[in-house]
Amino acid sequence: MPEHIDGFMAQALNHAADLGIGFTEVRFGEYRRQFLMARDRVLAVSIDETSAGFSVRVFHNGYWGFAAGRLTNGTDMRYLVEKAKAVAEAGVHVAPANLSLTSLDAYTEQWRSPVKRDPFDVPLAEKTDLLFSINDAMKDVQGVQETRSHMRFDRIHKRYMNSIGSDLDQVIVRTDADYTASAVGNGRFESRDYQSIQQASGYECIDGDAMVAAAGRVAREAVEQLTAAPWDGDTADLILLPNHTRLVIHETIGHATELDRVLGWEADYAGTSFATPEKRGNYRYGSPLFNVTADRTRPGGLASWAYDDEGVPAQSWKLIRDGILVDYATTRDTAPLIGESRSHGCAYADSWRSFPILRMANVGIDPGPDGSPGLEELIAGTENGILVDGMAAFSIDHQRLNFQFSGDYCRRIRNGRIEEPLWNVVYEGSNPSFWSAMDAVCNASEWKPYGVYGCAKGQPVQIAALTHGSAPLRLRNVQIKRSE
Amino acid sequence: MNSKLNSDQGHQKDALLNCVLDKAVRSGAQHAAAFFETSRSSTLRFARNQATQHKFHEDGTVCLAVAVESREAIAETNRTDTGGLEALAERTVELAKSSPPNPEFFEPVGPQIYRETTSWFQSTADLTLERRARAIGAMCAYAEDHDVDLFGNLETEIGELAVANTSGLYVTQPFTRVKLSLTARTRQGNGSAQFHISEADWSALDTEKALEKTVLTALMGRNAAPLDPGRYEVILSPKAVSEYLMFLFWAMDARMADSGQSFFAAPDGGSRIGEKIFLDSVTLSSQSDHPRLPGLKFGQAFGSGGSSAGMVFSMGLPLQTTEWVRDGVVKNFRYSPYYAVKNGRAPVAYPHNLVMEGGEATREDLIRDVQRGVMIESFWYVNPTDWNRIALTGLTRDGTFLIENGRIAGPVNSFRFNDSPVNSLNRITGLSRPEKIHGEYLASLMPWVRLSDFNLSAVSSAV
Repeated sequence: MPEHIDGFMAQALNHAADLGIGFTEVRFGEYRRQFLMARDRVLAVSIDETSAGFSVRVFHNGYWGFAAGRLTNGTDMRYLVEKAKAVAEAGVHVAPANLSLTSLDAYTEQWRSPVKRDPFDVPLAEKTDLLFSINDAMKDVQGVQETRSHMRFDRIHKRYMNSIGSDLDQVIVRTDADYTASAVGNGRFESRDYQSIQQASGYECIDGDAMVAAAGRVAREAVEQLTAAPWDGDTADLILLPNHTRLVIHETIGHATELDRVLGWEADYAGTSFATPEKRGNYRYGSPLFNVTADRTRPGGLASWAYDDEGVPAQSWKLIRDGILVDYATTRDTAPLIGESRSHGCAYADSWRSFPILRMANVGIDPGPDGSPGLEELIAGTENGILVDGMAAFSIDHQRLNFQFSGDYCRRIRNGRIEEPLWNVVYEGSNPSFWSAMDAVCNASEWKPYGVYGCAKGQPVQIAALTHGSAPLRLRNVQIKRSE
Repeated sequence: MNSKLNSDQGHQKDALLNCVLDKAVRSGAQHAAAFFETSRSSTLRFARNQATQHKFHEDGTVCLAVAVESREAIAETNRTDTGGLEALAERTVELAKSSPPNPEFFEPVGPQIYRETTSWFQSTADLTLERRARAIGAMCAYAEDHDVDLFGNLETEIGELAVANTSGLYVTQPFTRVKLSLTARTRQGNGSAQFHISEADWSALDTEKALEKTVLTALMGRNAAPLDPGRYEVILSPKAVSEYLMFLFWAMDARMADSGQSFFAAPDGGSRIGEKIFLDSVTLSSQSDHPRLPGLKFGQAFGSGGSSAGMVFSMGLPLQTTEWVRDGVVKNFRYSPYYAVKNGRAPVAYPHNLVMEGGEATREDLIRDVQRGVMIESFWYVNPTDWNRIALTGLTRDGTFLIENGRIAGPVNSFRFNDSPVNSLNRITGLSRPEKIHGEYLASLMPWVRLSDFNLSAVSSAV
C-alpha cells in the first residue's frame, strides 16, 4: 500500500467538513488479481493485474455524489471531494430527493481473510505444474478432445474512513481452482466441470492431489454424456446436489431478496422482483422445510468480511424462515424505505472506482433439522428421479419468477439407486411453487458451500463473488423440458 | 487531477509506452506489446424518476504482454509514473521467465495501415454534470406527466487508447461514448418498455424520440391479456434479433469448429465453412466502414486457440469488413491470431459491429401479413441449453404483443422461449429495412424479422 494513505484520507474528510458536507466516506482500494488457464498443456492465459485508487462518496442534501481517481497528493484529494460534492449537487436537477440513511456507529478495526499461504507468494511453476498434471490426467481418457484447468486469485485491500469516525482496514483474499473436460464423439460434444469449492482463503484450500485424482472421473463423465439418452418423461423428482443448487439459490432467492431490486432500482438492467415489501412476513416462498440464511460472518465465504463498503458490520440474518419471506438484503439508503432503522450491511463496490451498490450476502439454504437424512438415504427413498450435479444452463425472468436450469452431469435414480447418466436434462420451475415442492433436505453433515463468481449487477456493471451453501435436497414433480 | 490526467495524454502517451517497452526489453523480453487506456467517465442512474447513483471516475491503465523466447506473461497496472511502469515491466518479464514455453506463440504484429474513423466528438466531451442531470430531469418530468416511472442510466466516457509494440507498431485514437438506457414502467406495474441508444456524439442522440417510444410502448403494454404458450409466427424487433443472433456469432469460431466442439463442426471432421445452412435471405457481416456504425479504427484478434498474450500482440490490427454468412452460406469464422497464422490466414481484428441484411418492407408491412402471431420487442436472460444445436432459452420482455388479422391486437403476457437461431434463420418469412440498435455486445444494424413456428414454450408472469 502506498505511503501517506491515512493522511490523504483524513485530509479529504477535513476538506469535506469545511465545505459543509453532511456525510462523507473516503476509500482507498488496492486490487490484485491473477488468472491462469492451461489448455492441453498450453499456458493459454497468464495475467497479473493491479489497480489502486481513492474514492470519495458524499451524501449531501439528500443526494449521493461519488468521485474516484488515482491520486498521489493532497491537492488531488481536495479535487475529489469537490467533484463528489458537485456530482451530488447536480442531482437536484433530476427530482427532489427522498433518500435518507440509517444510523451508524463508528468502528475502528483491522480484518483479514484467514490465509495460511498467500497465493501470490506461490511460485508460478508450482501452479503450472498442477494445471498441467490435471490436463494430463484428463487427456488420458479416450474420447476427451480438450482439457482446461484454471486458477484465479484475488487480494483486495480496502481502507475506509467516514465522517462519523470509522477507520477500517480489511484484506480479502480469494482462491479458486477448477477444470473442465470436453469430449467429442457420437456426433456430439459435451463437457463436465470438476466443481471445486472456491473460498476466501489462501492457496492452502487447493488440494492438488485430490484435483488430480478426480480428473479421470471428470473426463469419463464428459465422455459418458456423448451416448447418454434424454429423460423420457415430462416431470421428475429431482435431487439437487449443492454444487448445482448454488446457482439456483443465487438466481431464485439471492437476487429476488435484494431490496434495491425489490424497490425497482435495477429495473433498467436485470429487472425487479416478485418479493415486494407487503409480502414480508406472510408470503409462502417454499415448504416449511425451506429456511434461508444470509450471512457475511462465515469464515471462507466469498462475500464474508468484517464491514461492508459503508462501514456497517457484517451480519447473519434470516431471509426465509419455515418457508415464509421474512427479510431482505439492505443498505443504509434502502433499509429506511421499508421502515428499518439499521442496514444489514450489503453495500459493496467491486473496485476502488465503483459506486457501492447493494449486493446479496452469502445466501444459503439451511440443512435439515436433526433426524434429516443423509444423501444415501435420500436417494434410497426416491423411486424415480434425477440426480442433478454441476452447473450448465441457467435463465430466469425479470421478476425472478420463471426459470430454467440444468446440471452438467445428471443421472437417473431408479428404485432408490443411481443408474445411467442422462443427456441434456433442463428443468423448469417458478417461484414459489418450485421451493414449495421441496419435501426433503439432508442434514448438516452434507451441507457444502460453493462459490459463484461473475455475479453481474448495476450500471455500469459490477462483478461480485458469493458463496451459496446447501445440503442435497429433493423437489417433487418438477417439469422437465423435452429437447427440441 | 485535470493536470495529472492531461499529463497522461497528448505527447506523453508514446513516451509512457516507450518507457515500459524499453524496460521490458532491457529486462530480457524479446517481444513486447503494451496498450495504455485512459478514461474519464460519469454515470447518472435513476429509478422512479429520481436519482439513485451519480458518479465520476478517472483512471489510466497500462497493460503489458511480453515474451522471453516463447515464454509469455501479461501484467497490468494503473500506476503510470516511471517507477510504476518499471515495476510493471520487471514483474511481467519475471512471470514470463517462470512460464513454460508456449507452442502456440504468435509474434506482435508490425505497423498497419488504417482507415481513419471519427470517434471523438466535442459535444460529448463538453457535456457537464449539470447538463446531463437536467436532461435526465426533463425526461423524468415527461414520465411524471404521463403517470409513468422512468428508470435508467446515462453514462458518458472520454478516453484514449494507445498501442505500441516491439515490432514497430504505434497507433492511438481518442474516443467519446454516451450510452442512454431507459425503462418506463406504469405505476400499476402492468406495463413496461425499454430502449437503449449509444453514440459517440451526444448531439446525435435523439433522446426525445427514445423517451417517447419508451413511454408509449409501456402504456401500450398495460393490462396484458393471457396467451397460451405454443409455436407462433413471430416478429422480432431489431433489438431482439441482435440479442438472439449473438450466440450464433459466438459459435462461429474456427478452432472450435475444426475440433468438433461447435455446431459448425462437420460430421466427418473439419468445419462447415462453405456449406449452405440458412435461407438465401440470410446475410451477416461486420463492416468496418459502415457510416452508421463508426468505431475505433483498430482492435485485436480474438478467438479460441493461442494465448492471451498473443491476443495482446495482435492489438493494433485495423478493423476489417468480413462476411460471416452470404445468402445462407457460411463464409468465415473468427480466428485467434495464432490459429489464423497456423491456417495460412492473416489475423483479423474482432469486429465492432454486426450487420444483417434486410429487405424493403416496413414493420407494418410485416405485421399486415400475419393472421395470428406475436410481436416481440426484447429478449432477456438468453442462454444456451445445448451448444450442439445452439439451442437457447430466454424470456420476452418489455413489450410482447398479439397480432391478429394483420393488426396489433394488444399486449399479452411475457413468455419463455426455447428455440435456436439455426432453426429461426431457416424459417424467415419477412425482413424489414435494418435499423441501428445498441447491442449489448456489438453495435448492430438489424431488421425486423418475421419467422414462423417460434417456440414460446411457457408463460412468464413477469412484467
